[in-house]
Amino acid sequence: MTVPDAAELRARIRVRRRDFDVDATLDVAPGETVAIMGRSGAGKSTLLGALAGLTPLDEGEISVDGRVLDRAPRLRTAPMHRGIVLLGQEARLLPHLTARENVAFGPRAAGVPASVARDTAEQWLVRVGLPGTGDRRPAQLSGGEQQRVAVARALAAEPRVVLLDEPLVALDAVTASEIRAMLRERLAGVTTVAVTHDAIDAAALADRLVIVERGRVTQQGPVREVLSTPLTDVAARIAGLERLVGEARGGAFVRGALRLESADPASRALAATDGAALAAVYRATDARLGEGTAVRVVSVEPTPTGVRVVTDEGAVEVAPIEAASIRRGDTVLWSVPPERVRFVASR
Amino acid sequence: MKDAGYIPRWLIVPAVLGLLFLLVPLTALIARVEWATLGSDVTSEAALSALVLSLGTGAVATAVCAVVGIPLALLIARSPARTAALLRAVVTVPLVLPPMVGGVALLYLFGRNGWFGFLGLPFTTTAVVLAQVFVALPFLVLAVEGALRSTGVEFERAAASLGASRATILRRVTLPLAAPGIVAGVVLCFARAIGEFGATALFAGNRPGVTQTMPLAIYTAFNGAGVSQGTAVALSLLLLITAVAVLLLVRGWRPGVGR
Repeated sequence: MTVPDAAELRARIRVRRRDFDVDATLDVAPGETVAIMGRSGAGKSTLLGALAGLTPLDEGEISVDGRVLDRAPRLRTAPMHRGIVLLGQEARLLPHLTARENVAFGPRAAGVPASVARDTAEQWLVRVGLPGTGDRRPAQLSGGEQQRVAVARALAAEPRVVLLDEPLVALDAVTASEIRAMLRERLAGVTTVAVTHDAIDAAALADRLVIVERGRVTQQGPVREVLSTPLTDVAARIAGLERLVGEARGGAFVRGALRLESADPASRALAATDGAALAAVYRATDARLGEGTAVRVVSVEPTPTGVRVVTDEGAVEVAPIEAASIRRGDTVLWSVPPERVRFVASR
Repeated sequence: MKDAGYIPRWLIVPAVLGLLFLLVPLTALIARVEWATLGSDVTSEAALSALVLSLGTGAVATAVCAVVGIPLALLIARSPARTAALLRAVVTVPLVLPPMVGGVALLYLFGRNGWFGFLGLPFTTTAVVLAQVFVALPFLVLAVEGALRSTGVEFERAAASLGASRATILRRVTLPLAAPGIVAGVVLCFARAIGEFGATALFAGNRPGVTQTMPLAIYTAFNGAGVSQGTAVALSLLLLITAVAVLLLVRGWRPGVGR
């Protein structure tokens, strides 16, 4: 997706940390939204910090529309001169200013006359769904409203690139979903990098998904593609999928006594080479108990919609009634229908 | 009190004792005021010139403290933890030092044989201001620094990310957010400045109209050098009223933060 007037972001970021180096290349097409996902401490925030100009690069280069902002080790552009705005978990509205003054802050700082900035702010408040709240102070707004004002404030500054650092994580589920929808609408056509823990955010907001593990990009691609064919355990967990590692034998996936078949042509093609390292991915709710391979139950955990039975081979999520008699240490029969299994190459 | 928590109830006894210890002496002072001669005592030339000198030097000293103290507070608040601790300790020294010692130190620095002796400062009104700045600056710096540190830099980061220059951030973010601390610091600083006695006495002397501020006038009055004890009591009352007035003034003007 390429949008005229939007900026292209190219970044090769290397930051040395005590635990490991963050080393990633991130190219975002004009108007595109890229989601970065990974476990806590994987280096996502370091990447955002580097893009925002808060963390110096040890190696690499960051440029927006061909204009080099940072080039290690010498060139650094201060946060206020980058045209990159960071929207974090907390709204960080200036408490002594009204909502309107907060939104007008960016335009005012850029030298826009007060009356014009005021009108711009008023328009942005309407766009984020808060008409008529301009005179209120942040303390008089709910958490969700504050985050809406923060979005208005960020976009009113007309940034070249928007960075999101889990802006929905501090909100309740209903508010988060409303603001997610608003963000989707407002960020269309704005070059955006979004760090999130929630695959729902990635699916709703992003065009591309980048999985980061221990500072490295382990998988990237269109969001749907990454979520349906996770190449690593972390990616699988993010996608809400189970992932078993084994090998191809006789057109099927084999792992010890366990044998799974797939109805998916691409998966069958991968399994055609005997001995190829293979991972089987499936959704826990698609697995069945009562037929198939005998496995031992490791744990039984209630989930919002059922019960997750973890076995020494793979997990399965079933209705509470089905799991009522299952105890830890039991041996159960387990299978996944071939039309619900996909194979991906394993590394 | 909406929520008193769960502290032992008997703590009220020492608490009230402490309160009484602060209030009763002031009551005793007011009881000794000779209301008949109060008017003439307060408006006597010596009293008025001392009052004017105290308010004037106190105001100038407070302004000087604000001009150098707020930047110093910013420096401390934004230094790495160890540097900040060191700087804070340095700033605290005049606070824990007997003011007399400060006066002696200033005298050695600015006295006739001191490094800056050529300026001829001792026993001038400027010396009064210098003595007040020396003892009052820590109050302002520590109050402002505390406010700056508790606010942190996140708001400044947000402002920078929106494209605000450093000057804009200082004017529209940092200073407004520190306003409660700055107001508290300025009040404490002014109160300490007009109450300053020890360093002033040593470094600036006790010349009526030039260096004789209210505390020195009160001291002189008590020693019976020309003025009666009635004058001393009246001057003390005046100083007390000034202090209360400053406090009320500040409470009347509440900064918009944290409402």
